[in-house]
Amino acid sequence: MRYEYIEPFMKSTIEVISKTIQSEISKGDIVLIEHNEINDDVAIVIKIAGDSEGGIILTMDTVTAIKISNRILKENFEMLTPLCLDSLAEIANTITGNAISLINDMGYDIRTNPPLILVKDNGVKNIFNVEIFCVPIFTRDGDITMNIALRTN
Amino acid sequence: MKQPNSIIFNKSFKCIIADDSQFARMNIGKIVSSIGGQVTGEAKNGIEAIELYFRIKPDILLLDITMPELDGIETLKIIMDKDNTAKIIVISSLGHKKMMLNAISLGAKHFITKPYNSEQVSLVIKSVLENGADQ
Repeated sequence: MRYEYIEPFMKSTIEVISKTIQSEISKGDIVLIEHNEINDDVAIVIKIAGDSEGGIILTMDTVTAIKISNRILKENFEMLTPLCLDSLAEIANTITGNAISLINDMGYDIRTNPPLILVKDNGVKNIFNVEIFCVPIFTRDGDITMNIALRTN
Repeated sequence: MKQPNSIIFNKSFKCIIADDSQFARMNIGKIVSSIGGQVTGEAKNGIEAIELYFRIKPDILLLDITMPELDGIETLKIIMDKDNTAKIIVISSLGHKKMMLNAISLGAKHFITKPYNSEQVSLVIKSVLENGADQ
């Protein structure tokens, strides 16, 4: 994977999440994983095609997902509703769109698809069969991981 | 959601919001209502957006790009081909130059990238409704 693909995703992840939840966030060290399981409860998957293929998987545990979606929606849900999941999908969609825009402005041609929401019962897995760069994001509502799984064509 | 009085319209306007995200439609709908507009239709994809557009003939269409079935760019093309007076604002997380230029050349009046702030969206809607062109 080209590093120049990673940097826009990291930049976009930090900018979009901090703006959306309106609070400071920080990121941890990037970890490279090769196994197929992602140990989190909720995953938003966005497939990417074009000069690079694969996708991103934004993951978090259920408690974090409820807290963050409540903050965005200004609600007080006690469980994950379809609207909660949709608000998280919109965050992932915005991160991906912004990152792809930065990459495409460098002369590449990458396209994105609508988000797919997975919860643990359905199996949260790395569906891309490519190594993943995991970027941990620490927020006041819990930790989120941005998993970037892209191969260069 | 409170807006400065200078942005609120005296005359109500009809608006359709096309976005596959319920959350996004809800957010944009709040902005439209806050400036005196009426959301007369919501579409989850481009096909629904085209059907609603020609049935309702709104004053303005707020259109996402990444949608299932038919994306925003194809939707924009089809609507503008049939009605070149359509007032369409693209609101998308995709904001690279080529995409923006493509949308504007196809007839979009403005291009807003997500994440946006509500005042920015209000001002653009007002500008497009009043002037009918990209400002």
